Amino acid sequence: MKNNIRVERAIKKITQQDLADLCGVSRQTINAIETERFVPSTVLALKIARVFSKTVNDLFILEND
Amino acid sequence: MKRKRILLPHKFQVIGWGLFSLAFMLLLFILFRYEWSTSHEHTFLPIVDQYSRYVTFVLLVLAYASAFFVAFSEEKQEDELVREIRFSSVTLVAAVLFALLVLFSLLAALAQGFQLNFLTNRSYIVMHWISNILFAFFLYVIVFRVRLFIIKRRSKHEE
Repeated sequence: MKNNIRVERAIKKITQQDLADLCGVSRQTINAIETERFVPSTVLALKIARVFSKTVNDLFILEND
Repeated sequence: MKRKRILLPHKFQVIGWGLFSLAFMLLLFILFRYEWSTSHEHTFLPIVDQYSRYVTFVLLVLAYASAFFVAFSEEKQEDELVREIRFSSVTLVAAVLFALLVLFSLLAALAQGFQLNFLTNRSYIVMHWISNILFAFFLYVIVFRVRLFIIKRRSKHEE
């Protein structure tokens, strides 16, 4: 599953640590999501989407297997 | 959404590392003191020597208890990534140990069939270790810690 978190973060000019603090997770978790090593839970995906005022579908793109 | 807490608070991890280091060093000390004393035909610390069996037993219990604290306490920031690594480490250790158990059972059976006593005995020793719950417990601790270390190291610098 791809995501646009890094792009949205650059637009909003916030660091991984800022986003992590806003979502209540560690910076490593944000890094792992951005680098597609970890797929977040629905709750965390919704929290991230809320920070950027976007929908989950705007941030996460489901790829065809 | 409130999550049910099944792990010990993070402070137990700090206490656990401290106690484990202490117990481990004292156990090493007792082991080497014993070897030294048997090779030099005299002992030092006679009080410890007299009760060394009890001291060793108490230290072993301390080491196990502290390792339990380390293994089953929360990280400083226990989020879903850590939970995922924790859960997949348990699964990984269980799968590897089960596969090894099957492999060595086959090896033992084959070795017995071909009357390779040396190999049969070795296989049984390995099987005994694999099926030991403490071995699985320590393996889980190592696998979880190493994987957590790798994740933290990979994301050391913000990309």
